[in-house]
Amino acid sequence: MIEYYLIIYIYAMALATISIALYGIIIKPNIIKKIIALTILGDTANVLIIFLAYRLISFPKPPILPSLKPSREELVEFMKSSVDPLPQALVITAIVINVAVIAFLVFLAIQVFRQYHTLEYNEIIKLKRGEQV
Amino acid sequence: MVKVLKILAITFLVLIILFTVYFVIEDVLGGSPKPVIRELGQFYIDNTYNVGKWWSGSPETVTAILWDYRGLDTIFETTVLYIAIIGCMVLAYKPLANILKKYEKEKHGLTLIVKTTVKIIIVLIAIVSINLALRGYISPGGGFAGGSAYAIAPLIIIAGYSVYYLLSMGYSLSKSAILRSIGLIILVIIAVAPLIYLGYILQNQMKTYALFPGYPVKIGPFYIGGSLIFMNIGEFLIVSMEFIMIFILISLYMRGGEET
Repeated sequence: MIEYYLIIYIYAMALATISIALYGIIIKPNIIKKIIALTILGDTANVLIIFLAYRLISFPKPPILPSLKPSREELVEFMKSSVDPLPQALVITAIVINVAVIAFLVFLAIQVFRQYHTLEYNEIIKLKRGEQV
Repeated sequence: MVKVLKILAITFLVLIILFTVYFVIEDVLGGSPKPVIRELGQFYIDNTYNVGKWWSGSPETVTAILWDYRGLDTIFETTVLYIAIIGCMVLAYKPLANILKKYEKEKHGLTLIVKTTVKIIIVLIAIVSINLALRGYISPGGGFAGGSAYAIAPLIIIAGYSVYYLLSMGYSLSKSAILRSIGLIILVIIAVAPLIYLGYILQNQMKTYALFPGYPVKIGPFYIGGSLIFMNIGEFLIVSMEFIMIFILISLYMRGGEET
């Protein structure tokens, strides 16, 4: 029974973190803070996907087959005792993509700072309007 | 403008909270982490290790799914990484033109304790990451994990010493770009080679419907897992070198911003 409460706890914490990250992305006026909130959002999503791969059995094994050329019986035994390998295969690409996107956003933020000498979103809008007038 | 944003944010939060409650209730009733494996995961394992007709030359299921059954996925993901780095280089190209500084021992870096610790740790990081990449087909790890781990070594050198020390060590943007290109060439050759023998692109082992006999699983006493070890080496070069390029570019770019 305690596993179910733990699962509820983990889901609630993950989704609370996602909502905090969304709050940061939308409300915070500083561009760097928006990027930090975006990293929190991406990492939490990855943790959630990894958690979906977990199996509700005692001591699930890592997704590695016991022999090099498995027989049908070994595959069935593997599926009964190991974690789901598919979410891990998806997350390992998602992490690298996340880093690439964040690096590009950081470069854009540096470019904004060089142009306007500030990273506050509201001040950048004011400066832009002042230039046009 | 700000009011509209705040209303949007609150709507998002309410939606997320409702979603949470629904998800948790659904989870208790249906049970998301199940005692049995999901049908989708079973489908993937069945198709990656279809015993009798074909198999993947590796006991590591994550690597087998990543490079054998979902190979094209990973190739396009590498393309996304490549394009993002090209975007960063285009943004940073101009300010880099007039930066040529020497590393000065007194001016740059943190204390002697930190520098000695960095010296010890970078060796450990290099060994562990290369081990992760080379043994990725029989143990957890692979090109992505090894490459990401290896890129941490130059990052802590930048933090502990200076980016100029890193450049004086021999790391540079052009060398990283060349090594990245070598990794890409390895990927392309390994992916296209089965076409010559009337196989399929990214084919690893023998299939019933293709003439290509498959990459060798064993060379001498060593298992190499068919094409998986080459793919892992290529991906290790690509990911580590592109991350190193990002770190050098960001640190040089910021210093360029201070000067102008």
